[in-house]
Amino acid sequence: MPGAISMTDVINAQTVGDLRDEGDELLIDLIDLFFGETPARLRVLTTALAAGDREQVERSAHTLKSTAATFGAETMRAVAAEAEMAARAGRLESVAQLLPTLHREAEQVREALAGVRAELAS
Amino acid sequence: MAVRTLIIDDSPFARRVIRHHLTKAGCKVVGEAESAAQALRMFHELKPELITLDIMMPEVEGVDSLRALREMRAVLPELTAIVVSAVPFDKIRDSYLKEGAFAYIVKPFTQYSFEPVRQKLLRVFRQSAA
Repeated sequence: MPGAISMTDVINAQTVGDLRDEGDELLIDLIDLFFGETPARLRVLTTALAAGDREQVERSAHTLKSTAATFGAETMRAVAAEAEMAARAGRLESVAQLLPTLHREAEQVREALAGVRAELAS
Repeated sequence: MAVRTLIIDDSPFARRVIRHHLTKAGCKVVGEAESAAQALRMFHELKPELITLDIMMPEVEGVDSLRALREMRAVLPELTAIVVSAVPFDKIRDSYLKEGAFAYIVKPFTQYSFEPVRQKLLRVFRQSAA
């Protein structure tokens, strides 16, 4: 049984614990994916928003929503879901308003996962 | 068992988790596609026996998940398809089961998500190997 990981309320302890129960390798891979994928996906979203590319905005928000759900990051997931729905409805100005919050939430999740990653590596 | 498997999901996180569980269940993941359109191309090349198909992926190149499933099953009627969805609605589940889906898994995954599928896969592919 792996030792307990200290957790913040930004990510869900049960969700992350379940992933760890499958082995540290899986959780480490997923955290590393988050580090690589999320900044890239946020850049794509920002660029698509500037270009008025509604479909790409919706797709990127959808992916960020799924990413957040992987770790039970409920606030980030909810913001991304709201952005996805707004994009689907063609309300790109609403997505633009949500973007700073999405960046902020993603950064908080990154920090929380960095803490988990450090404990796994130690 | 080593069932040749193609994972179709736009989330790399979901693909990684699915690969983990199916590999544990004895499947061999021969490819991963991030859209239904890419999956169709890979399907013809890789000829998998099993696919996992996320049905909530945005449409790409005019191909959505349902169309991809229908086209694949038209080519290979015995294809085993596990449908993955973030929508736990009976109506959607039933519509995919009518299309011949073998099982339906709801996201987000839990530690129990894959167990029923694993047991079902063992039964089906052991029978076909016998």
